[in-house]
Formats: sequence, C-alpha cells, structure tokens
Amino acid sequence: MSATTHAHTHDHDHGPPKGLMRWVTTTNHKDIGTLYLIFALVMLFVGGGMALVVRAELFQPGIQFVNPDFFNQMTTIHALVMVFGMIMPAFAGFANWMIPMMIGAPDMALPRLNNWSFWLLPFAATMLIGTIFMPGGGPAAGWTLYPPLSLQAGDSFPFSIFAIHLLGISSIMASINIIVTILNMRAPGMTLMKMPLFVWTWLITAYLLIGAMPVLAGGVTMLLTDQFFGTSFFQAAGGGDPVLYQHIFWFFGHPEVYIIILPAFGIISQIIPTFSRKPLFGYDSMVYATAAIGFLSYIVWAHHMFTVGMPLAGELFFMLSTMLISVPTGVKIFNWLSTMWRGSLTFETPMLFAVGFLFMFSIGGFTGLMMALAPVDFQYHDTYFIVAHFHYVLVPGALFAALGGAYYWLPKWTGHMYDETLGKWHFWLSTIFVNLLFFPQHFLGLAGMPRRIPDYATQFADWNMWSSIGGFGFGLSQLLFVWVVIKCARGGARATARVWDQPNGLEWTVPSPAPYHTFEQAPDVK
Amino acid sequence: MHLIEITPNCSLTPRTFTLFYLSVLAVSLPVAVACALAGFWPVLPFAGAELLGLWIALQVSTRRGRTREFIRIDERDVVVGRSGDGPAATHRFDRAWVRVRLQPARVSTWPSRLLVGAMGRSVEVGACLTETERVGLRSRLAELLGPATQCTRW
Repeated sequence: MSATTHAHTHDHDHGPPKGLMRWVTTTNHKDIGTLYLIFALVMLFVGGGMALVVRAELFQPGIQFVNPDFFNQMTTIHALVMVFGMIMPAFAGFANWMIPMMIGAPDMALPRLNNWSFWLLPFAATMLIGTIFMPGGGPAAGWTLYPPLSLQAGDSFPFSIFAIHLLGISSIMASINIIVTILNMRAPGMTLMKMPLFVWTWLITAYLLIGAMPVLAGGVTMLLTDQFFGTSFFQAAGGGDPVLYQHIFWFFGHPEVYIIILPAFGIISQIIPTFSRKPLFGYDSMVYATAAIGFLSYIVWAHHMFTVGMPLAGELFFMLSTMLISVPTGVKIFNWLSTMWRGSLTFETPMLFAVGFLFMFSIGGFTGLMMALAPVDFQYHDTYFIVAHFHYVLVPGALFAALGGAYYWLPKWTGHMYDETLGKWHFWLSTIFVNLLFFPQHFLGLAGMPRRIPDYATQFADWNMWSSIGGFGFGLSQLLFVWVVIKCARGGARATARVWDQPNGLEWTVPSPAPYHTFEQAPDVK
Repeated sequence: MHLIEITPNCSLTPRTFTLFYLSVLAVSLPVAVACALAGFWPVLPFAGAELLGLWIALQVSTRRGRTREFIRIDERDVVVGRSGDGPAATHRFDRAWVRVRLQPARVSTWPSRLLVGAMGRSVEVGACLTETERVGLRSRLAELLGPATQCTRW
C-alpha cells in the first residue's frame, strides 16, 4: 500500500455540459445512441435522395435528368451511404441505447472510445458525399469498387477510400466497445445464456466485424497502392489479378450482409414475444442458429461471383454452403412463428413492422436460395433480380426491423407514447410502396434488364415506371416517421416503465424515459 | 475496527477472457495470414492492429474491474484507500473531524457523489455503486461514525 496522499477537494458541482457541448463531449451511452440514430435518419434521407435520382431517371426509357456518369455516382454513393452511413450506424445506435440497459450495466465499457467512434462518422460521411463535387465526380464503379473500373475514378478516389477507412475504424471501435461491454459489464446473475437475443446478435455481429473489416481495409488499401504507388495487386499488366479483388471484397462483403441483418434479427426477437405475450420459443436454438449463421457467413463469399470462371468443385462448394445458411435462418423464422402460435397477439406498430419483416425478409431469403443455385445464377447475375433480392433483405428486412425497434423503444427513450394511428399509417404506406418499389424489379431482372444502367429497352418501361412510383411513395412515407418521432419527443401520453403489456427484460424495470444513469438500484436478474 | 470494501462488478472471468480472445484469434489470424501468403500482405497489419485494439480494450476494462476501495474506521482515524486501477492511494482523516456528504449533481438525472473528508480535504467513495447502494453506504457510515458526521456542505 502506498503512502498517504493528500486528497482533492470536490466542491464543484458536476453534471453534463450544457448546449451543443453536451453532445460533442458526451460519453453517456444514451446520448451517443441518440446521436447515432439521428445521424442514421439523416443518412436515410441523403442516401434515399440519391436513390430517388436513380428512380427518377429510370421512370421512363431514355436519358432524362442526369448523365450516365452521374447516374453511376448516385448508385455507388447511395449504396455506400446506406450500408456504412445509415443501417450500420442505426444498429449501433440501438446497441448503444439498449445493450447497457438490457444487461444491467451503468454505461458502455469504454465511454470515451464510444464518443470517438460516433464523431468519426459525420466527417467520414461528409468526405464521402463531398466527393460528388470534386473534379471527375464521386466514385462511380459500384459500392464493390471492383478494379480496374474503380481505378479510373477522378480526384475523388483517395478521398472515398479514406472515407471508407474512417467508417470502418468507427465500426471497429464500436464493435470492440460492444464486445467488452457485453463480456465485462453484465449485472450479477446475467449469465451469457440469460442475455436478451438482441445482445446475443450484437455480440456475434461484433465478432463478425472484427474478422471481416481488416480484409476490407487491406483490400481498399491495395487499390490505393495500385493507383498511386505502382503496385500490381489487382492489375493484370503487372502480374496481378482483378478477380482476386473480388474474392477479397466478398470475403468482407458477405459477412457484412449478416453484420447488417443479425441485429435486425435481434430486434425482431425482442418485439415478437412482447406482442405475442409469450416467451421466445427456442431461445437456446436461436442463439446457436445466430452463431451458425455467423460461422457460415465466412464460407459462402464466392456465391457473389459464380460467373468469374471458378472450378466446378468451387461452384459446388459455394452453392451448397450457401444453401446451408437457410437451415439456421429457417430455425429462426420457425421459432418466431412458433412464438406467435397461440399467443395472445396484438398488432401495435412495432409488431406490424415485425410481421412485415417476417413476410418480406422471407421473400428476400427465398430469392437468395434461387441465386444460390450456380447454374441458375448465371442467368440472374448482374440483372435487376439481384437488385430486387438484396433490397428485399435490406429494406423490408433490416430497415423494417430498425423502424419496428424505434417504435418499440421510443416510449422508453422519450417517456411519451407515439401516435399509434400515424405509426400504423406509416407501416401500411411503407409496406405498400416498398413492394411496389422492389417486387417489379424481380420481373425486370427475369426479363433480362441489367443493373446499373441509366437507360433501357422499352420492353422494361412499365415495371420501371411502377417501381419509380413505389420509390417516391416509399421515400415520402418516411417523412411521416420523422413527424411521429418529433411529435413523440415533444409530448404525448406519458409512458409507464413497462410501456407494453408483457415486455420482458431489464430495460422495462427502469422509468420511462430511462434515467440518464440507468440503474438507481442494482438490477434484479431473473 | 470496521472495514468496508467496495469493488465494481466485473463479469469477465480470466478464463472467459482467454477463451474469447483465442476464439477471435482463431478466426482473424488465419484469414490474415492466408491473405498475406497469397500476396495480400496489407490485410495483416490491419488485422494485427484490430486484434491489439481488442486486447487493450479488454485489458483496460478488466483492470478497472480489479479496483478496490476500502474505508477503515478505527478509534482515532478514518482511512479511505484505493488500489488496483492506477496508482494506489490512501487518505487518512482524523475521526473526530470526519464528515460524510452526499453531494447531489447539478442535474437531477446525474448520480450523486459520496464524499468523505475532514478539515477542507475530501475524497469520493463508491462512485461505482448505484444510487441506492450509495445512499445505503452513507447510512452505514452514519451508523459507524455517528449522525453528527452527516453534512450537506463542508
């Protein structure tokens, strides 16, 4: 034991800084969660605006509004913004808000790191979007940045790579923080197999991020050195191979799909039991299914590139391993349905979004199975069928889960109930328009319309028109969500601590809104 | 003599730490090494940096969990000590002059601070406790030191 030292005096008051500095300097998990969610919402409209430019151009054949190069910039930056700037930060926001409350922790394990991981995001996103205004425009080679096309970009190339690095660093720091929080900050009694499914899905998501992100970082760095330092990793002229970039990218890219969808599974696993008034069916199998999906996501990447000319054994392996993913995913779907079976169901807005997710994510899952068949995929490859498939997984899949989660926890966050009527209007308008937007794209793809083209043959005109109407309708419907959130934040009926009839979890044991420092009493884990 | 010990909750056992970290290594390292062997060596430093970052983060968090605070009360002195995370320190106060103060935060939603001190010096104890536990600790100290030690300002 050391020698006696003088103590400091503690006469000053303490509390958060006021005004803007509260948000800049905050280390509180709820503040940072709010920042993530607001940022994601802003990016939804930025990325959505770019999608509407695309849909406006595709409303009818011919070149109407934008030149083909700008069209390609819009598709590329739309995808990068939506993946790295919108959906991942949205789920990071949910993680920040909910994981400490769900495991009985006072805050995230590394609060300063948490602040930094958020504040990298606005700068990285601004840099990425700002490339549009640079000479030669922004990146236009698609979000996959395949060489040699991506190497033909203008001045924006190093900036977009740097922005991707920053977005990746932010994700990695967030996932390290989430892992440490979940492992070290659980309340006494909160064993791993008592953790809510949302926490489990985020633990496995963070694990996937740790494994996949260095591969992306290495891959885009090699693009950079090929362009500026004379290396030939992917340049055939120097002995490199551009197809190997595709392997590198998709080794990251496929786990990334599950990085996006696993937290969505977690949110759905919280919502369905609450509104079914039953415990989640098959909790253990849900955990193992999530882990199995995580593992399988590392060994299926080449199904994105069946057409590059792989050996038959490779095609067979990736075809069968891809089909294998439907087993744990099916376990989840059946467990959610079994939870609802003979439950005392009610359909408040979060449950509507959860049921919508179940139905429409399954459509995306089934079209995924179709594409898993290598011989059939040769037909679908690079058509609008692919666009329809992944948008069904990401929009009525991941985004609907995020919207459902927002409605589910909004009363806990704000202390007020949201407007249920407007919430239901939001759900139904979103559901109708999202199907109008993406379902016709299946027909377009099957009829042979290639993706990433600003003009098309007249035979595709009708379904493109309907798809564009759906796009604008879906975009406008989201303004209703903004209004519901603002209205709920500003007032409304007081929310009780439990909010819903039979919710389960520690977050429902604290008052609504949740106190700044959540647990005034040690949480009692049952 | 009375001794009160305060330790923060830490759910990560050394065994889980090792198992988890090895499981991350088992996935990330072979992937990075395989990339490096295939000629894509830039993947390796990123993977290394990330694994190092995770290890440091786990270490920092578990070291914080090893923090120990104690309040030792005998007939002459009250000694408040801290060890574990950061340099060890002890603060000795004359029992006759000791005051205990639960200082509310400027903002009602922030946690209070429990201060033990005397003659212009004070030290915070129980920062890792919940609000209820902190109030309980103040009551326990009042029991041991006498109600006269409770104060609202120094």
